[in-house]
Amino acid sequence: MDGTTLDRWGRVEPHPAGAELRVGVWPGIDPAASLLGGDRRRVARPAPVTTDVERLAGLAEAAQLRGRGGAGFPFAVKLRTVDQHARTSGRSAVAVLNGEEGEPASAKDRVLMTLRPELALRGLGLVAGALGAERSFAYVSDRLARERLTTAALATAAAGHGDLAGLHVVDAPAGYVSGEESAVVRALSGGPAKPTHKPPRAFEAGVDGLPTLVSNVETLAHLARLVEDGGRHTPSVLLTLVGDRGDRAVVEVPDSVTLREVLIWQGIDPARHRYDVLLGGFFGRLIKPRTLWRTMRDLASRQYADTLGCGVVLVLHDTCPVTAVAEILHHLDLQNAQQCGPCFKGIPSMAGVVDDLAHGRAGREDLVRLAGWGTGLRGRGACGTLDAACGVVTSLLERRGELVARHLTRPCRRCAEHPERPPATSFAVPWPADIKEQT
Amino acid sequence: MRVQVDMSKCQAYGLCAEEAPDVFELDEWGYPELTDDGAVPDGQAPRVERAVGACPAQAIRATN
Repeated sequence: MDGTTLDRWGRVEPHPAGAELRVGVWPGIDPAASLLGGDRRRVARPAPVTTDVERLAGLAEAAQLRGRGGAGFPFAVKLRTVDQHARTSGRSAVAVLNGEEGEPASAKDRVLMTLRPELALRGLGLVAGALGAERSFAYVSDRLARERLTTAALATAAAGHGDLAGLHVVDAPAGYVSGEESAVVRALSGGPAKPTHKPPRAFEAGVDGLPTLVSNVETLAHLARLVEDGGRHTPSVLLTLVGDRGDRAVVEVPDSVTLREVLIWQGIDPARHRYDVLLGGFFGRLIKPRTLWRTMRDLASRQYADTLGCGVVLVLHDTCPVTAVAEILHHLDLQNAQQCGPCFKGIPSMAGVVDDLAHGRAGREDLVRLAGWGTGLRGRGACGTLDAACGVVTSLLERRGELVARHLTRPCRRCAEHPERPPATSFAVPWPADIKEQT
Repeated sequence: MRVQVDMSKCQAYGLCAEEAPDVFELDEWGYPELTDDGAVPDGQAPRVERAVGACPAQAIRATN
């Protein structure tokens, strides 16, 4: 299978026949700001930098760097909190590069680890060095990404980027919940990769009970870039675009562009094509039309109901949103950690009603129950899986209420085309066994 | 006093709701929902402490 293609300047190659995944970099993106593009000869070997927590946190704060794994937590706050807990407890902190991209429709972290493994490692090294962490981990389920990270770790450590002396590259179990912060901590402490009740959170009692910073791959890569150019650039944004017609792309865009501009660039102008967009992946929402006009920066800021999350843009050309939501709920049910009753009872209950809607079997009272679960079950699981389900359901009812109501009165032609729920979600990004980067 | 239930431990025995029905309400599957987000009303503390002790899954934690 032909994989990803990027030319040496980071531009998208023409879509090769049969390719599963394209990688695209916004034309004219500032090379100093770009993770996937730019002139690699110029930026591949930055001078090593040593830094401290306050300088790292200051740069992250000035750039408004938030976690890119989905929750969008401000990185500076996380770093300072871990440092504070390590200092007050007198115990060594632990730093974790979380490369388990359990979100099935996301591929940006795998692409980044595979094509530019040194970037996130430099970020991890800087964090470990600043925190004085004796141990650090790269927690990754994808074999190819893990191999690239392992190879790059030697060179990165030799070049003196922070402290990678205590690095362990760990084979993570793949799964929707295994990249959740408390599941990462539990797995690295020798337990199953399943979420735990909070508190305690990782920053107070993480790996082996030590204060632990768990951070997403893209976040750490941006951090390295911020440090290396002194915070002069604004971090870009990685998105995974997943269309229901089989198109899959990981794209890098400036944070100043709007979602609409990204879609037009990718050849699907919302003014010319009719489709629904689910933003944020399986933890996302069907968006309001207004959201198309918001910039990446605004969508990441969490000041609006529709947020960037982990950067998945799911484009539904042909699939009815009711079917799409049913499929997402089905996946969340299959991938369930089976720990919390409201989650492993609630998600199949919601899935059942949405399935009934799709098949024209639901009544008005079912919709009332569904809406009640969508709001009432929120926050009742140990991790965010149940909240993900509640979020997609609520967005379906609120944003596509008229469409949903029509399912009560007459059969939906589009839903009839997808009567079965596939065991592996059709929105997943198939991963190329071998990525060929054109240089 | 505040109370929390670790939902990853709770097995829906329902004893908490028998001991302190004003604090723990059972949902349609028998799992407790906390009224007032886990804040324990004045006078309910002894009941909540009994619920903590009664829970076979040891899923309830009360903090002052």
